[in-house]
Amino acid sequence: MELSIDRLTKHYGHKIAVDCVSATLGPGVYGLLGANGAGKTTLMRMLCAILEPTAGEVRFDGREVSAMGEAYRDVLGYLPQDFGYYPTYTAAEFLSYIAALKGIPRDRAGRRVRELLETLDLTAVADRKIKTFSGGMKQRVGVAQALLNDPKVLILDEPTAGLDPKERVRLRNLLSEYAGDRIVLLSTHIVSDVEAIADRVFVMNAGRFIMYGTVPELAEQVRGKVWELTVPREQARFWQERCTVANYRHEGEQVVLRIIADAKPADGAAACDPILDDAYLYHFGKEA
Amino acid sequence: MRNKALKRMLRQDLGHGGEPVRLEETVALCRRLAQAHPADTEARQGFWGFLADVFHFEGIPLLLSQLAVLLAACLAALSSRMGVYEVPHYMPLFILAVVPAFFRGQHYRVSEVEAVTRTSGALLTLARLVIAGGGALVCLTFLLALEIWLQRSCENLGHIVIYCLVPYLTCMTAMLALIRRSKRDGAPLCMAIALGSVFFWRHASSLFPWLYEASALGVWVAAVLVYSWLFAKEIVYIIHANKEVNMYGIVDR
Repeated sequence: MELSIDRLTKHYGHKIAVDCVSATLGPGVYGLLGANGAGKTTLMRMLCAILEPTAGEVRFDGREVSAMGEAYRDVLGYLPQDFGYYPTYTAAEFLSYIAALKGIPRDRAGRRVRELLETLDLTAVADRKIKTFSGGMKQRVGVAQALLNDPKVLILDEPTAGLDPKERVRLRNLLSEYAGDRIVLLSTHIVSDVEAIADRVFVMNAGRFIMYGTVPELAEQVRGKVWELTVPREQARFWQERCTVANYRHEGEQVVLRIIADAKPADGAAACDPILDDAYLYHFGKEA
Repeated sequence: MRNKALKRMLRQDLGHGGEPVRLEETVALCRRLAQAHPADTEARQGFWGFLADVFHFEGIPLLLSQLAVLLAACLAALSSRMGVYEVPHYMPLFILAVVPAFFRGQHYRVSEVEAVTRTSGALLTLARLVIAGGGALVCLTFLLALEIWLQRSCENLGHIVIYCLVPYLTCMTAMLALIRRSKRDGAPLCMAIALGSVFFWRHASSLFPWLYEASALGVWVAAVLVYSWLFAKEIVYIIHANKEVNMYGIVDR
């Protein structure tokens, strides 16, 4: 199973949202990292064929998705960034409605809805209207609707947005467990989410992939550019203005700064092991 | 899958640089393999099952809103000196009544989720059209029965059908065109068109009295034909949009 993107481009007038992006995705979890406006959502909408590309194509198992019609939609699960719902529906009703649109026969749909409500810890609120739900609960309904047809390609745009830490861990575990031989692509700007579950990560900026690889590979790219520097508290602001500071930790009267810089920022700075956060900050700097 | 389609796919996948050899044997082998190892994809329901589901979720409110318009049209027919000739003025209201159902996905931002389902936004619109059209047909039949009862004759039945069809088809076609063009403000525009039509048709008889003379029948028939053709074009577009991964009615933000 393979989802390939070939020179995918999207222009809005003179603005380039996605710029000639190519990649091949096999089974596994892929993270799409990028700041707001990097082009993540536009790319995901093109992968779901919601948006027509200006140029390039998306292929699933060698077949162009625009020619596959319902055969492609049948293997697709999608959670949009701006997940909407019908306020008069209960969680169970909404999922049954989406199951009907996904062509799942009623008897099987009922079973599947119950399973997913259970998996996403929504059974107790299944008969409550979605409009009464918290942000995290709504997001879980969104994830449940994407999983209804047991999709081979699961595309989730900011799935952890609005979730509390416990819910985020739960969702991350669910996705890891679910992935198996499926393609799961999730976008986020929360680096720790990607770090925890993604097999491979794409980092996107200004419509292009600027980095691609496993989490350790990406972190390794900034080895020798991450420094720890202990300075008196009153000097902290100076360093924050001068460099990209990834972390700031108090130690008595002093602060320990984690600085991202090409060269050793000061004599007392010591090189340290990089993590994905550092690689991300190295590329996005102050913007992030 | 038909043999022709299978051959086309094989040619596409294997036939780079020439006609693949032993195509018939390959097709037969594919069929044998497919029978021996059935696909692990679950069976999906067909259009009629889907239509029943859409009716289950959306049918009742949609038909109730049309029933309310029917009631208003009947009251107007019974209280007006124009009798059932008043009815065609209300036909755009049957469209107004179904606008919330057709645009609710857009309004509640569910249209993207609906669009990537197997049935797609296009087929969903088609199912809603079948339900709304069925409802309108029942209402129109009831109004014609009322005409027969009021006039105690079937003499002007043909005229009334045409007078009803023109405003109905105009508004229906406008609504489908707005959905197809993915207009952000499609719903309010559609409502404005429906209400504007009611206003126009209410005053049409005084503004253009010749329009209701027997000699103008040709104009009406021509209008029915034109709008039927435009309506049919919209339906063809919906069917086409469903067959391909061609998004229908998605508002690009």
